[in-house]
Amino acid sequence: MSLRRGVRKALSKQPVTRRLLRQVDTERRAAVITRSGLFDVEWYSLQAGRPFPSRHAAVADYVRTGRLAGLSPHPLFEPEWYEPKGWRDRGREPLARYLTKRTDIAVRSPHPVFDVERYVRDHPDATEHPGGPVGHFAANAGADAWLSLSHLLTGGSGEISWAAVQRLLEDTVRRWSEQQRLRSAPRRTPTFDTAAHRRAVADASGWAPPAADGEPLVSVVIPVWNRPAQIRQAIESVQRQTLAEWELLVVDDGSTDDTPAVLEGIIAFDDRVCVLRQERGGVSRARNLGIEHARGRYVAFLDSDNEWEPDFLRTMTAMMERANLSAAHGIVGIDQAGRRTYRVFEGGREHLLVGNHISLIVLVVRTSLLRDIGGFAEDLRRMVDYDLVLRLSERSAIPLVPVLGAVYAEDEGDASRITVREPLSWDYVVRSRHLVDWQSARQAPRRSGRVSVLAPVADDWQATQRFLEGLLDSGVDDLEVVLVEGASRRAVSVIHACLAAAHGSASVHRLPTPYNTAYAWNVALANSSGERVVFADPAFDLRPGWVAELVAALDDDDVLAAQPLLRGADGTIAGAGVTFPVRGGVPAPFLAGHPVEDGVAAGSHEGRYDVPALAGGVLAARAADVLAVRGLDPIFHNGWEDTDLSLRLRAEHSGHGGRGGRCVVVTAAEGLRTGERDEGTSRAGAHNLRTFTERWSSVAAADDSSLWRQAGFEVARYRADGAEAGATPGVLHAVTNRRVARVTEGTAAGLPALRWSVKIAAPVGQQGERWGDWHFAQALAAALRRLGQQAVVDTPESFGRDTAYLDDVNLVIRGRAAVEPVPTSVNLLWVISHPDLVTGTELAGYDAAFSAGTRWAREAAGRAGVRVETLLQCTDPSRFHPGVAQPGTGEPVLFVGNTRGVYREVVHHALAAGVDVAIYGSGWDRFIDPRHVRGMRLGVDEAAAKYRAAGVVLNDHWEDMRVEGFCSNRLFDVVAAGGRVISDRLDGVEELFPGAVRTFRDAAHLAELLRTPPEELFADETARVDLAARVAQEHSFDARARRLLDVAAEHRPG
Amino acid sequence: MEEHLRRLVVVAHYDPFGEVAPHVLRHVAALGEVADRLLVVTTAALTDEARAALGGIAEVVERDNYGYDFYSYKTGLDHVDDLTAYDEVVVCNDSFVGPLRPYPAIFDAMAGRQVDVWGMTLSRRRTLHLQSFFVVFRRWVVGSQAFAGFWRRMTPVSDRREVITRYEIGMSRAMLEAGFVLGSYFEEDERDARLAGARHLWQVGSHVVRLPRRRWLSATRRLAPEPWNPMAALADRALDDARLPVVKLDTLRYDPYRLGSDMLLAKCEQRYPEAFAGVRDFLQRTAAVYPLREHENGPTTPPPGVRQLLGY
Repeated sequence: MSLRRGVRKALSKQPVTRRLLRQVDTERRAAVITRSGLFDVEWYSLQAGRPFPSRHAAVADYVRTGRLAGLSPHPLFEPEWYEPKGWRDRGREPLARYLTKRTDIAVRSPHPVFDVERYVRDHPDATEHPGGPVGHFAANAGADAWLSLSHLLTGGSGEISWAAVQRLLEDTVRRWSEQQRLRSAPRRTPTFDTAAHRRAVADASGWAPPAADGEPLVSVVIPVWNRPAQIRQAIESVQRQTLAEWELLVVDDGSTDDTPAVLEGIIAFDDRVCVLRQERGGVSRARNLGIEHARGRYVAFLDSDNEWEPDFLRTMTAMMERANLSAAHGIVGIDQAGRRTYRVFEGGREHLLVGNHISLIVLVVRTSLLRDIGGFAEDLRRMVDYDLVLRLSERSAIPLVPVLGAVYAEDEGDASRITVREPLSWDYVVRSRHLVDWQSARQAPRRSGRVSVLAPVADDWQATQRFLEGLLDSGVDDLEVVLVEGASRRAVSVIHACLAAAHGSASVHRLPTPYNTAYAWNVALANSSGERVVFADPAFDLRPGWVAELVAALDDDDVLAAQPLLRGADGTIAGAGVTFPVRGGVPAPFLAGHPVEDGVAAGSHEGRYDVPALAGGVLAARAADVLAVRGLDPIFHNGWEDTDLSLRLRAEHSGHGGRGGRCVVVTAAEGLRTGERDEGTSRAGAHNLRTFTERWSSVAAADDSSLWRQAGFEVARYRADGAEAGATPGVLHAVTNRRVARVTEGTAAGLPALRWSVKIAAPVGQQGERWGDWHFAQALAAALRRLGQQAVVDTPESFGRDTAYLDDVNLVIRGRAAVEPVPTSVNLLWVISHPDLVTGTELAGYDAAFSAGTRWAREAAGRAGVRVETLLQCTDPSRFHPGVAQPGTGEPVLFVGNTRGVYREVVHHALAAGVDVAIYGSGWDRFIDPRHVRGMRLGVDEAAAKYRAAGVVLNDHWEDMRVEGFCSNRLFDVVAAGGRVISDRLDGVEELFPGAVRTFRDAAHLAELLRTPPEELFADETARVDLAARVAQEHSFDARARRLLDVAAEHRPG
Repeated sequence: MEEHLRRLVVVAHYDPFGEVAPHVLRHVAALGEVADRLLVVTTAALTDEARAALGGIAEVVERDNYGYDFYSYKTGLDHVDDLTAYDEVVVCNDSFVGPLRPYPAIFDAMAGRQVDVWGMTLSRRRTLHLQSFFVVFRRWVVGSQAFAGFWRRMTPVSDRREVITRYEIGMSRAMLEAGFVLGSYFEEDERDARLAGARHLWQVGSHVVRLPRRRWLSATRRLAPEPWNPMAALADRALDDARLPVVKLDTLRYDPYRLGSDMLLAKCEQRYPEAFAGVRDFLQRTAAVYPLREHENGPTTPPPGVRQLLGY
């Protein structure tokens, strides 16, 4: 094997042999695939967009190029699903690998709808099939066979018939192929048919325009603004036209330089040229003025910096008159970066909806048609030509006349061009207008009580999968999910379709082109049916039940929109509403960069708080309200669109007759950004902010100090940042202060009310929240709050957050890595694990250090010469107390814990002794008979009940912890619940928990203990309940918090 | 362009003796035929006689002698309240003899030409520009920001080369940058261009050989690529039915192309006796005041072969 690999490696180093090798590989793979029967020629042709003469040709095409383009060989084999990362690798072809490398054929799924493990369980012989289990299914299944979808989404259910799957896949791929065909149309080519051009010109040269009593046949409209030098060239190109029957309407859009003087000089010598003037009103209004004054039967448009070829007008009008065309376009040449390409494509409206192929300067339209459609849209600052062409295409075909009309240079660097000044997102504004029919969307009936979750989905289908999983148990009775895809890869489309089917109430809407968020949300809105809508984003990992929490805010009639508390990737707040504390519409993101607890504090009154506007990327509102303001404005490119919407909703409902309106942040709904939303370039960000502040410059400035006070802060001043050099405004950040008061009530009365940052090693997000550290820190923070303190929990991502200056105490719960002390805080270190990693230097950097191990506290203190106080682990008596269950009703012998990769000794010895241990935890499959594993994970309250009910609970420690005297928190929990523990030996533990904990010396001793009836080993029920009460008193989080507070207060400067 | 055009003419005048030479007086009178308002701005200390003679046919504005003709143009233009009341504004000086064709004919010929600013000749020396001894601005140009800005920003300059750079060439540049088109009454045809090219080479060569040998190369490199000055290189086109309807006094005085300006003067006197009456006398009388400048020669007599092939 290794010899073969060595030879291959050597051969692949030489170009000639490499090519040969690849050829051989290709042949070998094609043969394997053909033999397997797992290749569907019809299915493949559909994707490739062309037929193949033979099966062999189709397979060869797939192996050589098709698979690299992401095509699938068989409806039930999806390369990207099978190999999410490596499907594009040149060296391996997924299907051939599936067929030849059969070691994981029974467990690795080749297609989202194919639950391979289940199928192999039901059909063990399927693994022997030449096409693998999926080949076995394809060969044997009838149309009425059922496929399970439950494996697709954790917590999902449902089945689908094979016939329905086939329909679903075929529909999806058919639509994708159609969109692909439209996308890949040759809108720009390096050449054009010059012979056809010459013929068209020659045909037209003898043509006599119809007599029109001196009226022009064509009205040429050129808008101009401050282009005195170029306008003459443009006009002269009109004067050079071989067609004489034209008038030229130059519309001066309020030029401020000598353009009017130059034009005056031109009209002095040519009375076919007429100059119209207007106040500066934009190119669309200028062209519309031209259309209004046009006397010709046709209108043609030229720009002030372009020139026509001399035969253009004659050839166009000759063709249009002969064929009775209302609109037509010629060919245009474009010089860009030293290369010339031509727009010489004849397409229909379906092509136009995907992308424009018509240049305005070679478009000729019948004047009456232009007037009928109302001319150019004056509210667009870019893409006006695309918008016009789209509206024309609703009314008329726009065929191509094969005449080269103009050649122009596309100079990216010219700052005066609209294309540079105005953001690209105008494209989405135009698309949104043409693909969303607001009129009918407003009239369509909406289902009362239904909630529609609207979400753009990207090519990251795993994010879509997580998002849909989070919506399975939404807490809403009638939930609908509308996903919007934009020009996704084929495989992604297929996987999305399957995921939506698995969800049950989700649908996927496919756009032929990429989108920005606002545009996608608009499309989703128009395709939804819920009375309430939630604009969501799969890039956020939202807490289960978030939808219900969010839409519940809309139960208040005067709440127009609600958003969750949104955290950035570092866990700090990124979206919690915005305020406008100064005039000029400059937004101040509320609580930006603060820990999420500060947001919760701001909403502590009702679980929500009011803000002037929302921000962050997730928003709930009533569908009718959003439809009434025509949805979101796609001019905002992936940012600020929701803020703009919330302000427009409020504006719509303010004043007389409006019901008034509030925007609220719902703090119970919370999301963490896990994926990247395409934030666009920094220029898009600057454009967004500029557009926003221009539009909302008159929004009333309002003091936001009471809102800040609600969260516990005083605003000192505002700091502007994010500003680009020049005039682009930035956003405002509040610089805050927190006054340290005295605690007025409770046991801590008289002590300072400090702000604590509890730092833990667990990562931010769902994964970290499974760590014990996280629960420990949350319980400790809650205990601190009961002492009148303000406490937040920081994970490593937010250790260096900007708002750290507000923390009075920096309490580090030591994990594997050392944490830098914060110079402006009181620094406390609590070592509860991995004592061997803590150095003396580290200890010396803290104001005070604590250890959960008695022995280590002594020894480390001795070594480093600093005081290390023993502060044992603890428990939460509100969760762990004898009232949680009846004693003796549960498992006789219980163990709760994961393996963390090792076969833990206490379990090993107990099982070896023939004891039936009931285990809750993960990772045990490798070591023991699975029948012992009763569950993978236990919630805190379930664990408390199990501890209380068990005959005896087994416990052990990591060896270093045991030696250093680090008593595990499980001991505290079990004893606090009134339970009984047999643990490995740790000095002083039996004395700490008299009558509730027994320790064993070795395997034989453990076996002996387990054989002894518990009543003989442990104190009686009454004594254990008393002990539980004592543990609750002395070893609770409250007790630990109190000690930490005393120490912090002692070390506080001043 | 058939209707009557309102025209303002500003003439810049200087005479070292405070007189008005006969050819100047004839020129001012000729301008009177086409001007609705005619201003002569003089930097000469006029004699009473001269003042009376000029005052009889034009408004005379006297000013101190600084800033060359351009500052006189500016003074004249500033003297008029509303320049845009005129269809054409003409500025010219007294540095030439002419017109050798009647002004109405010249203006009529230009009326149909699609240009915004025009003069007698366009020079390509250094960069394309109208030679500033005679320039006509059309109404829309007079109303433009470029025109107003050019004159407003003007300050008096007393160095001849700087006047040429900043104001003669600068004016054309300002007009071109504003988007206006320049034109000239005299248009070189191919024959003219060939002849002028040959004369230019002769001029460069004859200049270079008089320099020390070590400067030949650098002088040739510097001078040869420069286009010719049409007023000198084609001065004898005045004799070709007055296609070029003026003769520069500098050409007669310095013969910059070494083509025999004495011969040119003689031919002109013969062909246009009225127009040239008193010119020879004027040149002689003022010779001491106009010393030779660099690259200039004074009237020369080129060798016979050259004279036959290239001379005036």
